[in-house]
Amino acid sequence: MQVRPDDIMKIKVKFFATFKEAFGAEEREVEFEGRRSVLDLLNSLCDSVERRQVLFEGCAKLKPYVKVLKNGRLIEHLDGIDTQLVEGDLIAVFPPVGGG
Amino acid sequence: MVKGFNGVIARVNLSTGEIKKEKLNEEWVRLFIGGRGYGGKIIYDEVDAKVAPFAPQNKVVIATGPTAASNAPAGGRTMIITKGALNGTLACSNVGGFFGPEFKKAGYDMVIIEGKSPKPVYLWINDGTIEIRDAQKLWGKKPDQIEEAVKSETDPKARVMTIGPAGVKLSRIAAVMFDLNRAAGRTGVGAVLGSKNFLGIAVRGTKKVEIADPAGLKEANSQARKLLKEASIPGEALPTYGTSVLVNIMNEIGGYPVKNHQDAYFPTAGQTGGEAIAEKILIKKGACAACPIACGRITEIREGKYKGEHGEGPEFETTWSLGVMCGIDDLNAITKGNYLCNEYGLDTISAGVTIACAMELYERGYIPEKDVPFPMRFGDAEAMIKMVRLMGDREGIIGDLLAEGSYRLAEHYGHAELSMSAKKQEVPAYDPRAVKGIGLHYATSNRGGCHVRGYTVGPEVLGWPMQLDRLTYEGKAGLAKMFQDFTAVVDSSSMCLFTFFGMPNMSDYSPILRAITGIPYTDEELLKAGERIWNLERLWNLKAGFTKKDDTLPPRLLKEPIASGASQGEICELDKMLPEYYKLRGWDEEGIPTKEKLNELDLETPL
Repeated sequence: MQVRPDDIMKIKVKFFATFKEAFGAEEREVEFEGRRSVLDLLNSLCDSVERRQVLFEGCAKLKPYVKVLKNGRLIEHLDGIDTQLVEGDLIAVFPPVGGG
Repeated sequence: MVKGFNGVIARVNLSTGEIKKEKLNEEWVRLFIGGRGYGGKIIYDEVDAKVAPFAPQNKVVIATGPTAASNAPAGGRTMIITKGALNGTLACSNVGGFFGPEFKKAGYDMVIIEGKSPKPVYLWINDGTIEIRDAQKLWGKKPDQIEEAVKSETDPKARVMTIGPAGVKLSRIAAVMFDLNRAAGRTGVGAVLGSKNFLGIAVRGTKKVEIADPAGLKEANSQARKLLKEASIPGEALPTYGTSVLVNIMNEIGGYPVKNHQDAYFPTAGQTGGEAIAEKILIKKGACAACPIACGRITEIREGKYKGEHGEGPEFETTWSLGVMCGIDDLNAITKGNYLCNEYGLDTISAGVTIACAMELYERGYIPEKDVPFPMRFGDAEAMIKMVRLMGDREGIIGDLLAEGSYRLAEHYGHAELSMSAKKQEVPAYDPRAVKGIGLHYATSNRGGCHVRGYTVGPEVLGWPMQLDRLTYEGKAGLAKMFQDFTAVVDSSSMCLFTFFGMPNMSDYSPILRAITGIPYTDEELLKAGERIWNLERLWNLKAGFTKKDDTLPPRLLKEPIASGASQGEICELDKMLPEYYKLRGWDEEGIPTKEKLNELDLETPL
């Protein structure tokens, strides 16, 4: 799906476990104009130093084991943090989780 | 002499009442470590693989490994090894709680249970002495009633392992319950005890187990605890949210089986996840012996029909099996179902998957109305709870079949393909169509469908200790083998698999095992021991009659694409992994270990 620069797209973002507390909600909807990446999205959501520290360890580098899924696929297996978004994408952000 | 063990194995013949003490074989400790590995070697040598699981000739080994009573982190687990009731494999079920260290401090490393008692009995092991005691009044009671009565007959500080009503009724999915709510759940070990008229063991121990290098162990334990504290999964995720923290990520990736694997995504699954448990029912965390992680959930139902009931759980697998696997997102009902399974002494994974199987059989019209006392439909939480009761009591036609597990149930109604099992054991909460490597592990696991003996989900989903693509096949054969061999070492040592979430290298374990035993194990030798254990179990299964044909998955998982969610359209192409797996294992094309491989592992050629 092609995105034109002036298109408005809506992206749904879900936060889980400890990230739900850090970002104050389990689910948010974000509106963007034009072409955006996962990095743009997460940057826009990190609206305080505290929130930024939750996810990032550098300008464009996520902390180890922060898991970001685009429509159920880890972004590592797409284009990483530069993965492009399109209207209707669902982004899920997880802290390290495990169990069995 | 090898340290970290008492050097004593008890052998109890229930047919004759004879109790003997035998010396631990130190060479076997080097080769098989302890617990699962050593116990497996006993069964391999002493029990005819063709024997029926409920025959008196079957034996049960209740075993600890070197780390029990050593203060190694999460190092107090107990293993029950036998020919399993559910599928006749060389079965081993592994459990936490506090029994293991107590047993070890009572002066024994393992106990071998032989024969069949003419009447129900239990063992009272008290600092070296062993008595066979009458259990007729306790036979068929619930674990809490048994524990209370046994403690009053023995010692209030005793630790108790017992079967519940399901084991007494020879349910093939019966667990053995430890400390009331911890279960050696898988493979039907509870039914094997039941078949021997053997209720369980009460144990009290105050002896010290000699350690080869106490200063070295202190340092090694301290380093291991540091790793577990600093790693995010055991240091934060598991203690905060318990194992059910996995619900959301498995659901988001579309790998969370729904309605007997008819789908793998459930929109409201989050209502049952670790976050919801923490918010709605959690009273406090629970930890097993020497465990710094504390993933256990002590819970209370706070609203609805079951308000005020309390207990332990649900864990992730139970949240799923009694939950969305049955089309249910009612956390209170799932929790009640979990409490009931604990009261009956039922494996929650097999119980839930069997109920889901029955629901599909019913909805498709394969179970006639005359066989069921009420409709058994997906999404009906009350039906699920009533089905646990029917199963635990073996009540009526359907209750009797439910107690046999999903394979025999589905086969009875002419649709074995609807049993979501591998080697007749119900597969757990990770859909192999969405996580390919775990499918290979389910298919090749020596005890049948099981996730914990080769947890490829770590790298395939959780990114631990590295991130792999869950949807590709490349490299998954090597991954499954590596995890299977590694886990055989961790299990056999008596440590909890969850330590892996902070200790991903064998070099994180080897200093502990060297310091405890005095055996100069290298990392390579330990991994070789893990491979040896895996191959020993495989050889037993081959002798029991299992073949390459049994290394498979239910047809639905091989052929039927996932209907919705993030993994929509995926199937599990086992053929893309299995030949490479056999090759990497040093097995021939039929899945039989080659002579060269057996020589390399110091295993005899039995076939």
